[in-house]
Amino acid sequence: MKLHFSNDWMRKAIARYPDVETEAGRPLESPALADEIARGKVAIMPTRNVVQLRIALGALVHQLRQRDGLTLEELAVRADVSEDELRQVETNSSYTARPRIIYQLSSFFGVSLNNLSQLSGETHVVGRQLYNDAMKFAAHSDALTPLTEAQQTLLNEFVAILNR
Amino acid sequence: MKEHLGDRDLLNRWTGEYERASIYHGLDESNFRDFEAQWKPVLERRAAEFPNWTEAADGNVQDAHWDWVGNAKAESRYDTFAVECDGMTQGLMLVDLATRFARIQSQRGLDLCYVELISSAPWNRPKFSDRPKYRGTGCALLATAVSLSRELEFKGRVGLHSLPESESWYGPLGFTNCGFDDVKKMQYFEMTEEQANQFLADREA
Repeated sequence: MKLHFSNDWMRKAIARYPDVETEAGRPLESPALADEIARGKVAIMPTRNVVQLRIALGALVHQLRQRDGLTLEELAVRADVSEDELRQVETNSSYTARPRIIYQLSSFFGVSLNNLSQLSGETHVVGRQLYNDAMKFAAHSDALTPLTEAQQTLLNEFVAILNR
Repeated sequence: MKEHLGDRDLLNRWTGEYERASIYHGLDESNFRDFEAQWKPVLERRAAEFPNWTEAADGNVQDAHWDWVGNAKAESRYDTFAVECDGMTQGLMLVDLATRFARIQSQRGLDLCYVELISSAPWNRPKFSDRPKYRGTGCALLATAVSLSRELEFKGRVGLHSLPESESWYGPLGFTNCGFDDVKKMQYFEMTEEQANQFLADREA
């Protein structure tokens, strides 16, 4: 790859922008995140497709929870799963969800266990159509805002596909 | 494989002179060694001086807990970048190309370069050191992220979550503040194609 900025640009940028160093990323003060990194060290890196499926799974669980007006803690209690594991499922695409939480979430939300398992990346064979539908759903998900009408429609459509 | 992308100047605040720095795509053992031996002990020592996290934020040491080495080595989905100057790693960046999509309405769902982690060495930080050394590492890395986005035909789209102390930085650069991300517990910023063009182009002349 090549750099799309010149040295002249670099000097001007140094002079122009505030003297605050750029920092971005995640602070690792929470045990859950530290645990995530610990897991990351020993995990075999999933393929891009598996990671993308897990993003769709995380978005799906997050939106179903939003739809039902539940916090992470409330869902964890009602679906009888660990809150930390639930958070991992929603936010960490490197995390391999255990079969039990997939089963519990499938029962609680009434979504096909087989398809939910495929989204978790646990199965080796994933239907092409399911993959495409999951990518479409994930690409239009937004964790920053409450569910819009359009997102609600996409969510309903995706759940219908999963249960087809 | 570590690829040399080019040389750009950093400002040495001690001398007031510009110094040549090299920008690399990919990290090697020398970068991991610099981080372990030079960065981490300083950050950890400083973090230990603060009784709680809020004060640590003000002291600009939040990323003392970042496991750069673990992240970069273990998670191959990241593209890694380094800025080196005076024989030392001065800045590091991890970019996630596989798992993020744009969130701004005008570009929602499109691919972007998501900056997972970005950091300059502790001795370069104004709030951290009484005599910060190099200025410009963060800027060089962000411009590199925009360059990567263009190279991949993502048209300069970049997204990132900012640590609280740096939130004021991204507005002047042209990022849109998309609001507080309740999942990450951080402010999310995104740059569109137009903003990326503005960021890199209008200072070329």
